[in-house]
Amino acid sequence: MLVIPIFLWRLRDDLIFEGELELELEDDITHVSLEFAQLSYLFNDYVTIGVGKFLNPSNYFVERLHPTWINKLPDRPITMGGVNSIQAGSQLGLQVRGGIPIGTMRGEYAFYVSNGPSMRDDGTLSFEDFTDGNNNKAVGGRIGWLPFTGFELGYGFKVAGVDDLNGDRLNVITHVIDLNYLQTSKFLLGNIDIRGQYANRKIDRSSSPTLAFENKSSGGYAQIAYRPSLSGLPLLRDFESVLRYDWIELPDAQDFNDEQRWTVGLNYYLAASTMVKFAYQFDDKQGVPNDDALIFQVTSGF
Amino acid sequence: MFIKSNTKLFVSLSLLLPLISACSLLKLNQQQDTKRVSQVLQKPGVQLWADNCSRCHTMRSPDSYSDAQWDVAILHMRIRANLTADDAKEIVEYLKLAN
Repeated sequence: MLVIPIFLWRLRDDLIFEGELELELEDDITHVSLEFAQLSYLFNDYVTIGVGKFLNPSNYFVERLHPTWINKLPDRPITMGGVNSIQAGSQLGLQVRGGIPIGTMRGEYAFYVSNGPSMRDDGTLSFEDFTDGNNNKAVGGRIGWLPFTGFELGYGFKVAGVDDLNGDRLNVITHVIDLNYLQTSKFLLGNIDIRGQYANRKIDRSSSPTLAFENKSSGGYAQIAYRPSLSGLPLLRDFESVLRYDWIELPDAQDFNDEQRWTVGLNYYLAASTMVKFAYQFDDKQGVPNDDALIFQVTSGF
Repeated sequence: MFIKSNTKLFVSLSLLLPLISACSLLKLNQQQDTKRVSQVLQKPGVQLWADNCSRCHTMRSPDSYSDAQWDVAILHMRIRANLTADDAKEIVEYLKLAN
């Protein structure tokens, strides 16, 4: 069970603090974590400066779609969490961001400098960056383009350096592409919501014997959801069907298992931000005989 | 007789006047409501609200929050969703007019 309160405090018209806690009850123990806490200053109409622990701007899903009352399925795509996560969830640093009108279109940007990740002994990355382990800052950002209503295309990146077991500096480069399309159509009698995100990360080859492999990871997800919100049958308007495919490809080395999943879901909206989610997940993971699962979640955002 | 007629007239007027006033007020309120709805729907913020908020999540009704709460929520969203300053201003004006 999760309770995730968000705190918003407008200190001035141009200064706002936002913070989010995550309280998770698991096996009778409540875990508390700070998801993000940042202070943002609106420098002008096009530039906002933020400092603190903030959600990764390169990662559209994590920054905007991860809250359970927004996410259309009970879990996150594989690449967005867990030990093999390709991208960071949040990071400590400074960011500059904003939206810019371009005629009838719109552009948006976010660039940041943050403490970088660190490398675990098995070659995976830890994004716990409260302290800067190697004086090598991560630099990243995202540029988004909204050519017409309901469509957004984005490109994100992150460049960092990590130290391997020998203390050698290895470069880490991550590229991310995201696509989002939403449309309310009378022809389709409702809303269609299409999302996709692909990430690719490469870490320099290490000279350490246990890490002497091509340390490349990639993966992403594609998702489509449909809600017949304009249906003549009122009962149908609050239902939503979802289909998602997500996958991850990991380095060809011991202890790494590629994985791909198909998830079908059915949601019922009790209110605008309260829904009941049912999903069945077909999970195909190397080395695991059967990891299919039925997932159920009730969520409310307020 | 004259006094009785006058009393009846007075009583009738006493009952009628508040009724006329109430009807007039009702009509005035209806006119004001219609004018307000018309104003709300003419705001560019309506379309911007629909276009921008639904990019990520289902839309909250304008009456979900007070004016002060919408000020904070839209400031938060301006930063998170990289709304332009003009769009954020139009959206919050619409929400405050419609709530």
